Amino acid sequence: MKTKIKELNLLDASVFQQLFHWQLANTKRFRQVFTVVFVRSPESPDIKQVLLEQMRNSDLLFSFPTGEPDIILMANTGEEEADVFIDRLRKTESNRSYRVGVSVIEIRNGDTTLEEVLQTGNDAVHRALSLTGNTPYVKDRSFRQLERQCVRVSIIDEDPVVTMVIRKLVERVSIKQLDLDIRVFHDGQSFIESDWYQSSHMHVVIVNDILPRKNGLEVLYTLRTLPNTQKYHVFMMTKRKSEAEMIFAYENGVDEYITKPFNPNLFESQIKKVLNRIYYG
Amino acid sequence: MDKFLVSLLVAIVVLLFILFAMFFLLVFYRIREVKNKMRITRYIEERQVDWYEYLLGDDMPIDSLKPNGQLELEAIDELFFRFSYHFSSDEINDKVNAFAEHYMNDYYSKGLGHRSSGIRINTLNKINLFNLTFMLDKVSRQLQKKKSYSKTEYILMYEIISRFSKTEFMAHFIHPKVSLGEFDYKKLLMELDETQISLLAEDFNELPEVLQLATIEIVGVRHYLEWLPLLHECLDSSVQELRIRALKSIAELEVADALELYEGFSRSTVWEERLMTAKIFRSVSSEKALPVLNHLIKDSTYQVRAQAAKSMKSLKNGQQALYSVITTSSDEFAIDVAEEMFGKE
Amino acid sequence: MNLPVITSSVFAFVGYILLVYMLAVIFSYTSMLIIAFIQLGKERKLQKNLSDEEAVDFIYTQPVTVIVPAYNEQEGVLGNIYSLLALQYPQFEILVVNDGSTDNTEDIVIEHFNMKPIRKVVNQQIDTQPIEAIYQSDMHPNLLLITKVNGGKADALNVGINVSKYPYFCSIDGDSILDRTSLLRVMKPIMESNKEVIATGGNVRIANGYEIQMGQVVREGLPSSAIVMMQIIEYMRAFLMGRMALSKYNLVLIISGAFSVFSKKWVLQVGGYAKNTVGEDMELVVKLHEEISDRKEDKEIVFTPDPVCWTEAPDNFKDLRTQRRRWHQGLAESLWLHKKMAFNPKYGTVGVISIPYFLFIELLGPVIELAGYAYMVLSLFMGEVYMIFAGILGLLFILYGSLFSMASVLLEAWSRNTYPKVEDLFRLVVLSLTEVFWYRPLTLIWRVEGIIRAMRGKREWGSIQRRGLSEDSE
Repeated sequence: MKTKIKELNLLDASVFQQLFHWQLANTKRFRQVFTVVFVRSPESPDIKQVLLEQMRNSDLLFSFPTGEPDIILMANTGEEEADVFIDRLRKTESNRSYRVGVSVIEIRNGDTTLEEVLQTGNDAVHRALSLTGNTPYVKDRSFRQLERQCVRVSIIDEDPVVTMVIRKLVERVSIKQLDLDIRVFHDGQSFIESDWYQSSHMHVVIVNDILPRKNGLEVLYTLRTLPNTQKYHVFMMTKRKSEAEMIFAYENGVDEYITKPFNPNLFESQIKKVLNRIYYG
Repeated sequence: MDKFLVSLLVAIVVLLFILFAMFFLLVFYRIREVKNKMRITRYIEERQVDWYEYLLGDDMPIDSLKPNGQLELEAIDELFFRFSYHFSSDEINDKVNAFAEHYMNDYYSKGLGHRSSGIRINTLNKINLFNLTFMLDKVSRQLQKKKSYSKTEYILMYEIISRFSKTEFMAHFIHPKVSLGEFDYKKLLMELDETQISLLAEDFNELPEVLQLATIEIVGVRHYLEWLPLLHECLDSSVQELRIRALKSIAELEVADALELYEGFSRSTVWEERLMTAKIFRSVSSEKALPVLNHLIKDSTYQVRAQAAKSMKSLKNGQQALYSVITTSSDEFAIDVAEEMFGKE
Repeated sequence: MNLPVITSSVFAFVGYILLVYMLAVIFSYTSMLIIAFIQLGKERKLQKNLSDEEAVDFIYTQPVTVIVPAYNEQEGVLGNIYSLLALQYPQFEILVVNDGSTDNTEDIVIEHFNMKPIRKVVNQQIDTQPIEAIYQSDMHPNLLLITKVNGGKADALNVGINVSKYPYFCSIDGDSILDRTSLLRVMKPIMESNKEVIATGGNVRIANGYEIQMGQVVREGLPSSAIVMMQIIEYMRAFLMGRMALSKYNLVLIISGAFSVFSKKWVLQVGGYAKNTVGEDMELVVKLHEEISDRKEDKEIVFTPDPVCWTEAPDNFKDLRTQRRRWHQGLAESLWLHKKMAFNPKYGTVGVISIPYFLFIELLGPVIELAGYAYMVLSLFMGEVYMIFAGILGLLFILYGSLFSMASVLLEAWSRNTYPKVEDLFRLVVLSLTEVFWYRPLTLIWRVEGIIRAMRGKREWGSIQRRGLSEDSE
């Protein structure tokens, strides 16, 4: 019975591409880490059975034509957890005589391509097999580096001096791997009319509550009725301090309230916090 | 009659002539004004980034911004206003002060002594907005002058003095050079810090009545609990307004340790006093508050009923209490306000 | 021509009366112009935006309910609401009262601002037509729409007062728009007077020629139509030679219904707006003055020149005629209703100066002036002696009509910068000199019509074609 279930985890090489891309999309969108393990045993063809026994239920084994390494896809798994698998594989050394070469590739970079991974994985397995021991392995870390991500920032205020200062402050916050694409608007309507805010990017919106031609609340409403509204982080600047209005705005999707006149250094660190959270989740 | 006609004709022609002369003069000034305005706008556009670097960054030396002529001074003044309207930090404040003291001392001093009251008021407003502490002495000296100023100016000067000096303000507040109303005092008191308010509260009986009212109110707004005994004293006052204010501030403080003192006001003949009592009892335990509020929810004045319902709702088990008013009360008005409170969820 | 002696002496007598009257009017206008000049000179260099700031920060700033009575305003109502939503004011609510419109006013507002019906108990302090429904906007919690059975502007305003939750209310016409700082500045006299001021009126200006988008002035400009330009001059003149001076001495009897703020408490004391007059705004102010005197309280009603409300002026003779007729009818009715206040020292300066001023100069002025025009025409047939008389009268008309208007235009240009272009200023100056020859006689006739209608007791408003101020109105 047990083996039967395990056999469900054995898939044909042809579906690897699809599942790899599905996993990669999750990496890009939700910053999920996954690991691909390449395994090759030149002397023994029945290695698959051994692998299936040592794998977790959540791992998938892709069987490739003879001569090419088989691949195990470990979703939501980092290098450390893959180590456990290698340990268990080593313990099988007493029951087998042949050598098994392994390469482990942890993937954090959402911009990785399938070809790169296959190339790197195959090369690493070859390198592993040239090492000594019955279960030699190599860890390749070239895909652990996070990819660059673009975040859009919209600054909406009537006074050009203010938008200039805020722009400078945001630019001052530099986070490695994060490209900021900043745009300035001077009233609500021109922001809403532009197609700039309709994109799949993460989006930080810094908007004043009082604006000519559609005020901040209307901008907020527009963003909050979008299907991908969770991608927008809204800072609302205000001179008003009426409690009722602030509560309304918070309940209707303002993430942060900034009361004018505000401290620019404090604002900078708030922006920094938000950008960090956007990137690392 | 003939003569009258002729002289009228002459008068009209002369008047017409004068009016046209004024028109051309006006046009002349207008053109100059427009040009100046454009220059100021251009300065702001061109130099705003430098000013950002100076005020918020750290690698812009002060002398690279040395103003060149009256128009640039006006442009910088405008920039200060826009920066201070939106941003505030000790750093900006220090840098504005340093710059103004160094390069704009004359500019602001001239404004302070200008013969047009409009410009004097502008200058006082700016000293206040930009926190130009180095101008304190000059403002103090201005107050001692024999010359009399408009009320607006006096209030601004008092405001500046109370903000920049901790004690000097008391004498001015008690004996102002123009009669100050409640709004004026409230505005002034808003700028005071806690120790300054304490100075006022200690000499409470010396203060003019309107200042007393304002002081009482600020104690509530700022939640200065240690002055609760003063509020209690005011409840015995013969001045109705003072009693209402004291009750209002007690309600703001959200304390209720001397309930027997407040309860009597629920039967006061003054509806404002009943209103404030209803408000006070929103932060009291249910069993003590309900008898009072059940009485006030049937009050003859709408505001009192509405407040009683609101207070009831904020009690523990307040929903139930409101519900029982709706189902059991025979008072239509009480049911109405209770129902409205229910609807407000 | 040979006339009997008696006729000619009657004719001369009438001539003298007209002359004395004109001189008296010119004297009073001159003094008001001088008062305005001094007042504006003081404020000319004052930067108002510096103290706006302090009022916004001030927690004691009184919350205000803005009431917009709207009857068939589908062209203008969106621009109006957008301009209100952009107001700089710490706490306010907007009540749009749809007075049984027969057009799409209601649907447009509901759809545009995602309005949902809410339940609200209304404190029926003034008797009004029934309310049908109350809606609240999903986007702007402070925006409410009330639909009610048609009952006229006064009734709609009264409903607004009943529903309002704040101690002050601001009435604004559904087809006009407010400057961003207007509400703040119109409230300032109330706050700074320690609530001694119970009502303030703002300055209403004509927006024709301005480019307006979503309730905001995008570009200033002067319209090309002479009728509208003439009205612009007339507004300037009314403001400088009238309201400013009257306001200084608490003598204001008219604050425009298009934009004014009242203390709710006081308005409730006088029973709200009166429904039986076409000039409900003036009627309310006179009632308030009466109440102040009756209670012997020291309250004031002021006019503030700075806060600006933009409105659309009629651009053809037909609509202008309807409007002027109505205004004058309202003036006549209010004065008639409060006739007991006239010359009554019990009502202080309002009774002794304001009411007589409005009676003799504002209300009856057109009748006498029109008589003057007729007199001049008649004089041409009456021989040489009367020609001189007619000449003097004519010159006085020019002085009174055209020169004062030109002076107003100049004073306005000197004190503020409404029409910054030199070319526009020149056009206004030249046009102001023509006033006495065409515009003035026409409006005089319409106003006299208004008096006649008031005497006959006609009540209908007459409809004025609206175009809407904003470009984007539907």
